[in-house]
Amino acid sequence: MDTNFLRILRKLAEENVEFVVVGGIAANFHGSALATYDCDVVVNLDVKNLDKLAKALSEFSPTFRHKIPPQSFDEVTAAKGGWENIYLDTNAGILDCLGDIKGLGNFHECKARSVQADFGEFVIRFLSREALIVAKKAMGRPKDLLTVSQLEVGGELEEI
Amino acid sequence: MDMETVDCQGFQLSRYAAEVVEREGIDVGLIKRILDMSPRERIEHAQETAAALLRVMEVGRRFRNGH
Repeated sequence: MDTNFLRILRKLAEENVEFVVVGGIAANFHGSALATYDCDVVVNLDVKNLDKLAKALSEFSPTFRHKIPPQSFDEVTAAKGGWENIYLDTNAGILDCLGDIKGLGNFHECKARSVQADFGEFVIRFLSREALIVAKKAMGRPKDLLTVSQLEVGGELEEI
Repeated sequence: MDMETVDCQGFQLSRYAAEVVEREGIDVGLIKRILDMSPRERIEHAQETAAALLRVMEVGRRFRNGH
């Protein structure tokens, strides 16, 4: 499967889904050279936004990653509510839609600590470097701490 | 705020950052090149890197399995 996270993110932006990119892709946006194999976004988990999320993702054939047999994520399942996180496989790569980020909080709290990036035809919000460092430190795994190091160095390089 | 800087792989970084670079084996030039890219290029570069690593891992797996 070829990953194309930008295709997914573009579609979410075009469909006005409320989301902020977090995790490894956000770290890459801030200069980290570490490879990541999934795309993490924090989303507003209200029913209206989840409906938009499901519609936007429909062209990517999303299925729940941990359900056997595979089960589609669509507007019907989205509307059931009670979500904390939604872990998906899509035909453009792994997409984790999170309701809360350790050390930061929910979508609204992450949005308040995000920056907007202009991709020409669309804009995407990424967690700010400072907020990402807070989140990665809160996660505290070796790979998170390595990301923190890259983000700290990147922060100084951006001043040069 | 004045900050004492030191030369680190050709870049002037704080002593703290230079120690982080040394400890973690960070390629400062690579991070600088990524930061000089457009947002789109940064994400595409990250995905190309991940895809290349996956290909290397797949070759390794096949080699270990004797294929």
